[in-house]
Amino acid sequence: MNTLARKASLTLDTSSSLTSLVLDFAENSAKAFDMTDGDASRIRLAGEEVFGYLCNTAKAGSEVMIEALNNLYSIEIRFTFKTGSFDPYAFNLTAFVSPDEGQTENLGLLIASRAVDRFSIRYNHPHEVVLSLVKDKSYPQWPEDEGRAGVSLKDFVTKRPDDETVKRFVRQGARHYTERIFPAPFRVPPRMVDMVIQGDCHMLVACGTGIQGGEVGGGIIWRLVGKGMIEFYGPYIFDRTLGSNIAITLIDGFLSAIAKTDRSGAYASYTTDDLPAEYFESLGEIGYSLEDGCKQNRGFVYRQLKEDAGSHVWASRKLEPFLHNVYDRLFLPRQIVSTSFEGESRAPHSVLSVEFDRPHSSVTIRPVWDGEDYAENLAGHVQILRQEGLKNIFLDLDLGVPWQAKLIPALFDSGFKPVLLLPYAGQADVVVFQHVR
Amino acid sequence: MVSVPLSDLIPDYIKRFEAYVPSKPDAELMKLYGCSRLFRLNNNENPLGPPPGAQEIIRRFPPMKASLYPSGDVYFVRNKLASRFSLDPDQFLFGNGANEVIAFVIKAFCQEGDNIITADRTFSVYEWVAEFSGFEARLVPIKDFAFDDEAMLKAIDGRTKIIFVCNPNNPTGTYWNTDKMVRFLDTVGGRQIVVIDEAYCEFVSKSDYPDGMKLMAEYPNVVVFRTFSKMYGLAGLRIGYLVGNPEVVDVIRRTCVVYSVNGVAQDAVMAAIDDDDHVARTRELVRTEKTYLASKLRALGLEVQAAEGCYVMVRLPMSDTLAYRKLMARGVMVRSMTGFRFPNWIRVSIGRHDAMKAFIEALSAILKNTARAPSGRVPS
Ligand SMILES: Cc1ncc(COP(=O)(O)O)c(C=O)c1O
Repeated sequence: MNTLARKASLTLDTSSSLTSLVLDFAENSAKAFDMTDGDASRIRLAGEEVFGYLCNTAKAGSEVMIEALNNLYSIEIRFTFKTGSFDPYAFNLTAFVSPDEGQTENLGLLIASRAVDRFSIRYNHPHEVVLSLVKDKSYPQWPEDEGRAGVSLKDFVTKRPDDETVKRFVRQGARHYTERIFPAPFRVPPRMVDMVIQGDCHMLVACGTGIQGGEVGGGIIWRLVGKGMIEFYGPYIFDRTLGSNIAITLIDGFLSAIAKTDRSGAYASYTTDDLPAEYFESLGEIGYSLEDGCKQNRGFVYRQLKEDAGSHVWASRKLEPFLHNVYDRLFLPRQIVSTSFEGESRAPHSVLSVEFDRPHSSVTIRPVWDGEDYAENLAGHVQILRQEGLKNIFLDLDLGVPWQAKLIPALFDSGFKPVLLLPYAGQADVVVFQHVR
Repeated sequence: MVSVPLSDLIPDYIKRFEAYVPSKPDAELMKLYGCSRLFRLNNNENPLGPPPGAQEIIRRFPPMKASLYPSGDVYFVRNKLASRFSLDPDQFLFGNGANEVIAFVIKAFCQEGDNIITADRTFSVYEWVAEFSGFEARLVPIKDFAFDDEAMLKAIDGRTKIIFVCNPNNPTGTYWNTDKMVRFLDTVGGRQIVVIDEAYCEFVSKSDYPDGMKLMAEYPNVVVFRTFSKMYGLAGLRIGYLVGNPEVVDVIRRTCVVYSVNGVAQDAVMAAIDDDDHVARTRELVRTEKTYLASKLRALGLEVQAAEGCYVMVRLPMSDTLAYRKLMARGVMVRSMTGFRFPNWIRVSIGRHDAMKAFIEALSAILKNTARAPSGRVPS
């Protein structure tokens, strides 16, 4: 059988005597999954940091499962274990470090995060922690676009593309649009083919008919985000004559393709001038800082896929003006239920999860467990992340979870402000906070 | 507490399937949207309600009778319909709404690897039942708002068991005339079951509209669906049925759930079936109000798809799900159509004149505000 190897896994005790086994496993599976030697040794390094960290932190006799997953365009090393054998507090990025001393060098998890493209600590309630390291695959240099400048189709049909059409679409996209509009991860033709096969990206393209069957006049890309959302990109249009026709047909096709899924809505911030505005609602804007220090504002458009049956959301007074504004503007039927700490006892330690997106110098924090030290913990995270050079620090707050709503005053106090509301992106609406000072 | 190994228990086709979540009760929605009245124009219900005779039966239903099981196979209603349509009572099978009989047919004929064929933009339940039962639903794109007979014929293969034709189609209102239906049935040649869903047949007055029950004599593979939810205003009592050739129905009977039609529904239907006045009055109301609605909508510069049935479709210059929310805030409930694969369209059921007026007023106000608001386009 001629099939690709996609998965390897290992279950073992968290004992440092097994370290070399873990490192060989991480490195050799990376190589088996087609990573370059350089990337495989970076994965080895990241694996060493994480496993070393686990050995130090775990109670004696605890087990961890390590999986190497070949996602075609990337490899993921995933450590899964039960929190019963760990103090979850240890998985705060700030645990055991006093930020005042600036000892970030000692932090195995931070070092691991530097060696890879994406790193996350997730908590699967109630008892599981998953540490995930993702390294993107390197692709050989591909020939610069040899296609012609413009496309001029007599007629077109939209369809799900085959591999060759994906590559043609990507070449055209990279040629017609800057990275601001056609983002970097989509600009490598064979990578996009792998992303589509992997099912992490979906595409609809507009192709010529008859003799022009091989020509691509435009396309739209989407991917699933979290449990209930879709992020889309485009519509990218290469044929200026049929432009708006193609754009509307692509949007109709895209919406029809996702209409009967479990997703509640679709949003985009990578859009083009060809986006038919009447299909969408504007959610707002986020200002990003780029690596080179420049600022960039990105607007977010949104569209609900289902009839909104309304919901209640938890919030605290401080957030209410923001919420009223958004809910009135978007006609979202919500009952805001105020909540706050009123002296009830809290666990001593809070836990925050982090998700790094190094290429965008960006990190998203999510509250996992509440604790008395929440405000300090958050401040510690912000300090370490700033020291780490991350320019964009976000925090996602789920208004469907009452205890998260109680954290809102502390968020404002630590320099976060609400910038965007994503309807139904969590158990209820999610408010994206951004750290602004 | 033991943990349930759900992922081992669930078939793959169920893992993939998303449950349909019906809308909340009116009172809840009104509270959330802050409206003090609500015109329900989303479910194609009859604004005149049930025929007066049926209303009287419902009003007088003896409470003690609620403790008795109803007729398990809807005995009296089958007999009455049989004489009305000159068929045999055994050719009828009843369900808790026509929705339920869809499942009877699919279960009776499909096994692993089989498929059904229908259109991509039609009543969704055929597609759903097939998929959550593990069968492929081949969805043939409609053409000019109508079922595309040729493309449907091309989609047939050795594993196709049932073809669902919604005639007239919900939501587009288009129908196949007798010629087209007969040509289609001739080409199918009896190799598959052809279900003709006539949920809205009583609203059609065109002379070239085919009567599925008559076609059954010549085409024994035809199964017809009808319901008392639409024209007869009994949606809340859940009663619908299928009719077919006796041998075909004998097969479907094996998968039919008996006792699923309640006693009130059976009694009410007995009083409704012969009320031709009610049908005439409803038709007249639908005809008048549909004409009014379509002309008002066209005057607003909107594209309208108004054909047969007690509903019209209209394309909005805005997201249909946003329009739904804005209309709800003004006390009008319509069906947003992204879920029917018609993004930016809504379907409006024909109601009484005050409801139609309220809808037009609300929509006009919303469109006026939208036109003035800055465009939602992202600066790039
Ligand atoms: C085309 C069509 N068929 C069947 C039904 C099911 O009707 P019921 O289950 O109410 O009898 C409906 C209801 O909306 C419909 O539109």
